[in-house]
Amino acid sequence: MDHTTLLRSMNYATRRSFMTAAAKACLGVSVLAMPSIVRAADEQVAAAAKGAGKAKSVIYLYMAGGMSHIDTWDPKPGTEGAGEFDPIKTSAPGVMIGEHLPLMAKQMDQCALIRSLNSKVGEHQRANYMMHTSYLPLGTARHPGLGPWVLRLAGRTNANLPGSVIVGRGGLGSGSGFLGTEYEPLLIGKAQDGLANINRPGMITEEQFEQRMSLLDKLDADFRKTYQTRGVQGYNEFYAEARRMMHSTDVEAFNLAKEDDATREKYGSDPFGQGCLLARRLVQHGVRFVEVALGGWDTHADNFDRVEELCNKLDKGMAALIADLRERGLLESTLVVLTSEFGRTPRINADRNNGRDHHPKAFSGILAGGGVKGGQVWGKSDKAGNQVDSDGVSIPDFNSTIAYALGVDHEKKLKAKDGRPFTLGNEGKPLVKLF
Amino acid sequence: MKRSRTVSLMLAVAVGIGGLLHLQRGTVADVASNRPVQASGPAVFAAAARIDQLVARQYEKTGVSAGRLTTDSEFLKRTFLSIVGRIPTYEEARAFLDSQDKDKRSKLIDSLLESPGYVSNFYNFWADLLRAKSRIRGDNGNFYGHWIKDSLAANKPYDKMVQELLTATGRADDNGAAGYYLRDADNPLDTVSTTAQIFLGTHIGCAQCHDSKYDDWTRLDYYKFAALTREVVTRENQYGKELQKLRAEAKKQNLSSEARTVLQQLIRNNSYGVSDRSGKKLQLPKDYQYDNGKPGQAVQAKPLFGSLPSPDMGETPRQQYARWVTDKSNPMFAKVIANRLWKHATGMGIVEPVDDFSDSNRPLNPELLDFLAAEMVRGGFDMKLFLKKVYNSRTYQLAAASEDIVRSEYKMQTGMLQRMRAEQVWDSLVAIAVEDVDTRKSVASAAAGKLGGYQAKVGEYLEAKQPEKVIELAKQIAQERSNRKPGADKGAKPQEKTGKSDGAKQPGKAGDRKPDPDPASRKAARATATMVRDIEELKNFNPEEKRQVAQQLLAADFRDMTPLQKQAMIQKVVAEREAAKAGVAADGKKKAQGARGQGVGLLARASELPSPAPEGHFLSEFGQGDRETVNDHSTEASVTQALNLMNGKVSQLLMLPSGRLVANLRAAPDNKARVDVLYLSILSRYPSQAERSIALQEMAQNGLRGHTNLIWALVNTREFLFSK
Repeated sequence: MDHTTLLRSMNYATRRSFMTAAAKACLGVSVLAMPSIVRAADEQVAAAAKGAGKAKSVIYLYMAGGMSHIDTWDPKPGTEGAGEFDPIKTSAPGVMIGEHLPLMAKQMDQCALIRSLNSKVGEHQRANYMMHTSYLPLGTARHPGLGPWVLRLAGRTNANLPGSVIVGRGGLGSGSGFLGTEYEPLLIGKAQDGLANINRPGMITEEQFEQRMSLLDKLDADFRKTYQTRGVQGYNEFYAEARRMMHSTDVEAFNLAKEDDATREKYGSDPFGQGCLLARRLVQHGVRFVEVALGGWDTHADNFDRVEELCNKLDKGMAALIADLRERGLLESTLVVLTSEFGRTPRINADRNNGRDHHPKAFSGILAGGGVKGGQVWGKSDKAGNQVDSDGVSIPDFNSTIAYALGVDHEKKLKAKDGRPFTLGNEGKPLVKLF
Repeated sequence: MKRSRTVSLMLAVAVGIGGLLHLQRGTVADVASNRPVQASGPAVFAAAARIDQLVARQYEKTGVSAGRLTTDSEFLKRTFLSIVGRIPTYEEARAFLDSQDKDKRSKLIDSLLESPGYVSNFYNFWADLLRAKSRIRGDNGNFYGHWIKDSLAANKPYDKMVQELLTATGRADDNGAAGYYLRDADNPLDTVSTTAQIFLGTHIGCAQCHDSKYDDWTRLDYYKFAALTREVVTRENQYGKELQKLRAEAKKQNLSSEARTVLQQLIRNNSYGVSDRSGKKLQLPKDYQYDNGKPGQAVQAKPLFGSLPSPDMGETPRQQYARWVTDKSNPMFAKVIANRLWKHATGMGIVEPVDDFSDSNRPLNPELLDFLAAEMVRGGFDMKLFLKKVYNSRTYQLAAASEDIVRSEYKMQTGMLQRMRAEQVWDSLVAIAVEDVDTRKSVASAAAGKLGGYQAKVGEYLEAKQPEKVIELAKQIAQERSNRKPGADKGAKPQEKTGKSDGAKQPGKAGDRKPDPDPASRKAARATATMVRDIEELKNFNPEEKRQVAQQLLAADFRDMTPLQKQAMIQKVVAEREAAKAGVAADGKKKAQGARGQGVGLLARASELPSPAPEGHFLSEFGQGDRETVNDHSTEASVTQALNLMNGKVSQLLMLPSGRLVANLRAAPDNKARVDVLYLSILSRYPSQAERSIALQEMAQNGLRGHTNLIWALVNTREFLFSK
């Protein structure tokens, strides 16, 4: 029985004492963030009725820059903008994808391919922000990203690790926004490097470190007692969390060296592939939301050379991830998401060595695992891949579907500092038929 | 009654103005601006008193009473951070706290506003606001950054600064203000939206796509406003044709890859400029959806409110528009900057968010806002003068509340506890670690200076229609660059790991190697190589790092030093570099060697590092703005920050044997004095009795390790990160 299922079977008081006792037993330290974890778990129980709720974790693969849908997931052979790539068959009957995704072609029976994503936002920053938050940026309120939203609504399952992690360069709206620092994702620059500064300084023994800590607590006691602002308490909490992490064996989740060479190889040696592997390890350790970014899709020039190169990385990492999760029996409880801020134009710019420009009117995304039925295609773009033909999916719809898979309430209103209420889904409708 | 006491306090201060107290050592003497320190006069104190009076009126109305004043040490740390963006050094802290001068607060304000740290600190403020990055259209962002710094050093009036931004023409190397439009050359409507946001406190961004639900702006309003800058052209300049010829010519020649790269950079850097194309129109977008206009229809320009001033002779529409924005009668212009600077000083805007001056967003104290705006105008938009009035007020000098401030109940009766901004944390650590913190320049700014030289030269050649000379220049620069690589010189260490110890062996590049036309630079390159070879401490450095260190040593007249001095100098340089690297976490390390991270290898203030600092750098971990979104910095906590301060190399940097802190500890006569050094250096105050005995006990028990434990502990306190 995993944490969440166990939690659901208990009443509030039992859950709370269980969590606290468990944390104390594991860590020997007090757990400051615990009440919020329990509170969130409560809300999740309430929300479970709302969605499919099979997914416990999300691995969110973000293709930064705008992934060309025609050259990847929505090929348009025979049209003027078809480009240089041929479509290939996949393990999902009748579903064809771009030729540079041969490994993913074998996994398409596990995936729901959405070909009717669309928005009106064709500018990177705003589109990127919207994809992560369901809203356009506002000057008055910073919206939380999906990871922090999920964490706030579904809670953590492992108090020793951050609930939300970003590997690589995170999206613009991936921060905790108005939810506050408690929900801020942990940033890992490069998967291979693991978690920076997790070990105490080399010359210092465990005992000496503890002495330093107690010296610190003594010298800072007056200040912390006097100033109990949210900002100061944020640091108190994060120092406590950092120490928990330092002492926890769960931190091994960040160490890719624990994987054998063959596995590491399978994912691809580049940061994205290794990021996918890290995501799997983190999910195994109960991290709720892991974003892995692959940048470079802004192919205004040299579209075909660059997309081929990017596809090689994406194909290896994502296909290995899905296969691996499946083999380990984790795919049912892990939703794998692939998306980008927009697609790219059917029109090819010959004068920029065959580039494609921003195109938000129709683009593609993928959902796999977490209770989503594989081998299906949702929505259609028109003949040229220019507009959505049927079953259009807005960004709020897409994000609401992610929430639905987790059993998280996409309509739950939370107020920003200025008092305006926002939801995870921004009035989107989940695609319940995918499940 | 509190109000009258405030006024009399201010008068007393005003009367007491005497000679100037130089609280800072060394660095203040070589202030970038040569003007003498202007002592605050009666007008400043009168304005400060008026601020307090307007605030006190609200207390009276609501029955709130004002909190206590800051202690000297609270005032000291807060004011250093607010004006020069770092905590005071040990010497600065001691000088202020030990001074018996009853006017020392006012004098500190005056002196800090004239110190170079002011430029560094407010550069961060402006770079965040203007989204000024080092990389804008190639290297053009550097010129923009320099323009900001120059404007601040000259204390350019705010209205003039904005005028120059909005009306900028030409190339960035001639006129750094051109960066304002070059910043968004790909998406000029971003400039339109952010102009309204930054200078007019008005959000019109929503109306770019649809009539705004939250305020009254329609999409048509938006386009009418955008049409004021319709004639701006950024993607070309007067040398367009010459550049074309240059590209064609370059294709024909068989250039080395290095020369080709240099040439491409020169071309890119020279391909942009701001100009006005007379008669250029702005049309409504294809998806225009309302009845009051049609897609493709040319838009008639109109300001957001009020009306344009009548055009002057020969004025471009943009100049006319800039006059409208910056006019004294524009109801928003002075208010917005007054409010921003108020927030900078006190932590909370009278209007919040500072860029949302809509009718529904009521100011905390409307009379105060009006007064501050009027003062801004009356003082000729002199930002330093304005800040003096604020800093001298009792309101600014109130101690921080110990709880979160609830804005709806806040009458400015207390100050605000604030976490240092990312740049302030970094700059404070640098200030603890090294000498001359405010005047050190990084490799990056030196490189930008060099580039400026080339930029002007390329401009000349293009002007004279001599593209072939640009190609020659590119070759020459490429040659100089490869000569500067230690591996390229015959005298270099043979066992260098690069495997390129003999350039002549490299295929393809051999033909490019001609004898250097400049014997002096050749000699310097040789000298550099020799120096690198002889220094034992550098043996673990890579060739590029060695070269940089060697140049640093050369610049410091290393050759003329005594052996002992040399040893100290090398230790210092090596320690600094190690420490600076510590600011770059695993991921940033790689990037730091790329173009964007250039110069991160030197321990210098944030303003001297690339903007923004590379991902994974200490600055980005602590929430430096990304300079993509207006004012996007954050002061929120994170696990990575805690891990960095506990286990990262940054706190080790403070303990380095050659560091400033250790030098001060060494100079102190006894442990008691050493505890003072630690507290004054890190927490900007003397220790309490209880703290002193804890610290003394730690020193007695653990000796040297006790010192490092104390440094570690103090840097990890919440008190260090926050300003009371």
